[in-house]
Amino acid sequence: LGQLRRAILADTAAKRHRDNRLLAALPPDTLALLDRDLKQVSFQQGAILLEPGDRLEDIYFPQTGLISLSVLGRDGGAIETATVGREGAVGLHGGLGGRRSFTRATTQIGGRFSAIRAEPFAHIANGSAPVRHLILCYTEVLLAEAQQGSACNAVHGAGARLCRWLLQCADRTESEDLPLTQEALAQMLGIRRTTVTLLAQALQVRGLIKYRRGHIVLLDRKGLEQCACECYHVTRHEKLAPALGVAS
Amino acid sequence: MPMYYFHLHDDKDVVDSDGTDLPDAAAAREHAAGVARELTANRASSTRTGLDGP
Repeated sequence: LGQLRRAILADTAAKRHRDNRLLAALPPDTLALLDRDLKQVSFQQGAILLEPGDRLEDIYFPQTGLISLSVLGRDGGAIETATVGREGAVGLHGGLGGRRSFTRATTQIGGRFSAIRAEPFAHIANGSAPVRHLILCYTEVLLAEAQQGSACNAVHGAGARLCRWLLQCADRTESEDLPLTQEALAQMLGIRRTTVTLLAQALQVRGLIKYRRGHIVLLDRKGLEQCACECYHVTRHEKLAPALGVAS
Repeated sequence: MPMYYFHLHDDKDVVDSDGTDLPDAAAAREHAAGVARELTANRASSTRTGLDGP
């Protein structure tokens, strides 16, 4: 009976690992190689996973929740440069061995994650073409996303960027109900909280979102897409990877 | 610190329901100017990439 229970637990864990789109994209026999070293962890909102310069000792694959990558300013502020949800991973290039983090990684929305130590992951990557391919593809996709993001921050209006961010966040957590404060949104978009309040109010009046303390609910995706900059469509991972020729 | 509310009067009115703590009227004026800059900056621009679909 104990054996059966262990088998069921192992089966549940394997299913949960596949909630992450990168892990789910691996061939089953490749995922089976990682399975022994993959752990199930959870983080709460605000948990810091990595600081700039930290050795990448663990790699995290979100199953739910959202991680925010940010560059730190001298004044102590943090500017968000990328978000990672179930379409991605944090510290994946740690699988190339001896790498360090460039950004801070903070849990923006708490959730469940698959985690693996970088050392066994690098060892497996060394012997597995599909795992190396995954690392390279995801790195290319992140680079493209960062380039689009840098242009977006330079030339797009705050309202369009807010809509883009909300849609992207909903995609990456596969939920229309985002547990985010306006303070958090302001920080991620690099604008004043008052600006976020006014933009969110305007979207709410138009029936596109519903806002209450600490939660934003998307009500009309099509309407939000019309208000978002084109960066939303460009950086959707299911579109971006094939467009770059790196669909895995 | 006093609480300031920054309502937006445009073609439609938008109410600042939350307000912001600021030291004085001068700080509030500066905050309002900053918000106005953030709301109006780059509103009309667009990017083009090789990835644009039809």
